Amino acid sequence: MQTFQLNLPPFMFQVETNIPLVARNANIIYGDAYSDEIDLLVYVDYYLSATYSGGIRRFYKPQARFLCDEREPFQPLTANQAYAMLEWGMNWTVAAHELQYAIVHSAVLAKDDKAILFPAPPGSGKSTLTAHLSQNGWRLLSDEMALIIPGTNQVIPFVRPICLKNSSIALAKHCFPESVFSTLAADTGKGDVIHMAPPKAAFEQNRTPAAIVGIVYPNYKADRKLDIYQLTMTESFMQLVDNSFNFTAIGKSSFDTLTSLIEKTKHFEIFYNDLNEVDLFLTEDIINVT
Amino acid sequence: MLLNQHLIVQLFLKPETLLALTEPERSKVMVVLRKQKVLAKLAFLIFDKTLDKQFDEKTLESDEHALQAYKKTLPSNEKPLQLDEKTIRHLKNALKVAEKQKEQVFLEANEISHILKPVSEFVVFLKGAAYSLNHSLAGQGRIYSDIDILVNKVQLSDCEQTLALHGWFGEKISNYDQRYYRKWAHEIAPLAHIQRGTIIDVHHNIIPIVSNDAPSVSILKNHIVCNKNGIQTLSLQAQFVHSAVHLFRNEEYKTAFRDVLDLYFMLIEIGPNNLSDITDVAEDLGFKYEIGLALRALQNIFELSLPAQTINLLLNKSTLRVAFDQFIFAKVLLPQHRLLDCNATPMRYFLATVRGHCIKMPLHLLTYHLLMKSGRGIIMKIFGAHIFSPKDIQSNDNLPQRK
Repeated sequence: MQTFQLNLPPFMFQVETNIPLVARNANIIYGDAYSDEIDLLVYVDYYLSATYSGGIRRFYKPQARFLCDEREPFQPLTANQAYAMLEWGMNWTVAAHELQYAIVHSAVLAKDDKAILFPAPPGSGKSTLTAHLSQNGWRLLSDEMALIIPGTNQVIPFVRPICLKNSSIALAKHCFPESVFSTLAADTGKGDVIHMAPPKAAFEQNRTPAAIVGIVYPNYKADRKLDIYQLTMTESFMQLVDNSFNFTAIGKSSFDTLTSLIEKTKHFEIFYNDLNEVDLFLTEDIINVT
Repeated sequence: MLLNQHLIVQLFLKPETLLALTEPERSKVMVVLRKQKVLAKLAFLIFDKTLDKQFDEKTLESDEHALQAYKKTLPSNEKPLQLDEKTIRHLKNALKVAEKQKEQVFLEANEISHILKPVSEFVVFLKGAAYSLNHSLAGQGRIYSDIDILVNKVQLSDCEQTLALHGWFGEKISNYDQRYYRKWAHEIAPLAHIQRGTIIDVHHNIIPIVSNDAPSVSILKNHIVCNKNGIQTLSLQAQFVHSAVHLFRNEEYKTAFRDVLDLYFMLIEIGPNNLSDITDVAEDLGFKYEIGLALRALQNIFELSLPAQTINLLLNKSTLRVAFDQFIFAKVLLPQHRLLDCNATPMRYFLATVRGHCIKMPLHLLTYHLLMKSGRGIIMKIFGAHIFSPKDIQSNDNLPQRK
């Protein structure tokens, strides 16, 4: 059994695993934030494990199970998906417990500490866009969840790898040959999945919050040049609530936070097939004018 | 400090014990209590209500400076303030979940009561829901996964139909399980609300019929009370008896500590000097022995001084039986976690499980029941616990299925 700690502000995780690919991937993805020398003096927020499930199943199509503080929130996956399972398990852990933030399922990228949220369902091209921007002058705060301090427009970074799916895997490997990638988790519920390490700069600034200035709902369409639609506040609010992880759990404070966010930011739905055009639009029409 | 079961118990008697721990020790305490489902309980004991409000306003700013300033402005004898920020955060978050559940249970109880009153002679809320609905000490910071209700058995199928009309449906279960619930158990299979996902367990008695010890409905009815909001529960004494019976006739003791805390806080509310109120109800319902075990356990765990003679009279079984039960319950009621420094007691857990099954049903039925159940169990033992599970499920009950 291997044990390692992941120092991922604002949280500290300790992970136990007997699946070699889990520790190996965590090590290459998290770099300096990964430590297999267990610091006994540190405050661990969550004790996680990703291990083989028992029985002779271990030798025939082995499965891996995720536990958070000895509780198992979801069904096991096949062992080759164990690292992706750990990443998703960490997302679950934060979304289910950290009620001091209004948490939105969204990528968060910033320029000059001005942040744009990209809330979107899988398949919208959100992660590919995140990967592109994070390699082109934008600071990655998160690919999966925006931790918003209630009553403010401040978003806290939670720097984690970018989860790429299916055809975007080859694309990302081609465009960013310098980047570090996890091993492939084949045939998951979302298809083939790979995790791409965040740029070093993202880790270096992982304690610096940013102010949310825009909310952009991306839709990648192979045959469509950049189309931009300004959303009404109601449309944007409904989409934001739909992407919120803990809207009902924290109730009024979440409602107030999201409404005030909607009132103070710009919001757009975009259709695109060229990432550079999107970058230009975001920089000129949102970042530079706020 | 040694992180052991004794320390965990102490935390509920003297919450300020938490202050004496180092930060890494507190982090482990958070994990242990969360698994036992009692983290919110400790949080409630630590933050008193007025402080609560001030604190919420401050932490929402969530920066360390605000927190530091806050620490300075309050008198030094206020307890939560010497805690570190992370511990405060975990405690507050656990409390938020409990408060949310409490809010929810009032809404659900009103609806359930309203729709079932025309069809059932009584609609009684049991266990966790009852503690919350009556604002009992046991309900403070209590979390639960379902709402337990008791209805009149003769009107059970009317109740089921009415609930279905209002969106409460049971999950598909095997014919064997269906028959098990109908014929032997004291409840029907859980019903989930189609929109809200809330789960209710509908009971028609407080213990399984098959045990032959279930009290008659006419006796149970004597212990139903109605609070000022028109919600029915058992009387506090009968709630104590029910909780004790539930605990000492169970087969599963992994989170027994929460039930132990429930019993402790109910005893405090009733008043340890009013034991006769509890024993009278226990006698009426026919559960003196379980109350004896409960009081003995509370006395040992929380170092109470309860009258030994009363407890001895309640423990009215053979010396061997009493000794056997006390041997098991000396350990299995305490919180268990691998982060705790305590001796493993798998044998006592095993005995507790066997004991629970034996009490539940006569031996010939038990043999049949376990035989039916163990076919699948044996396969799972050999092939791993997840042989039957679908290949790719990443969804979780609480969260939308997306990443």
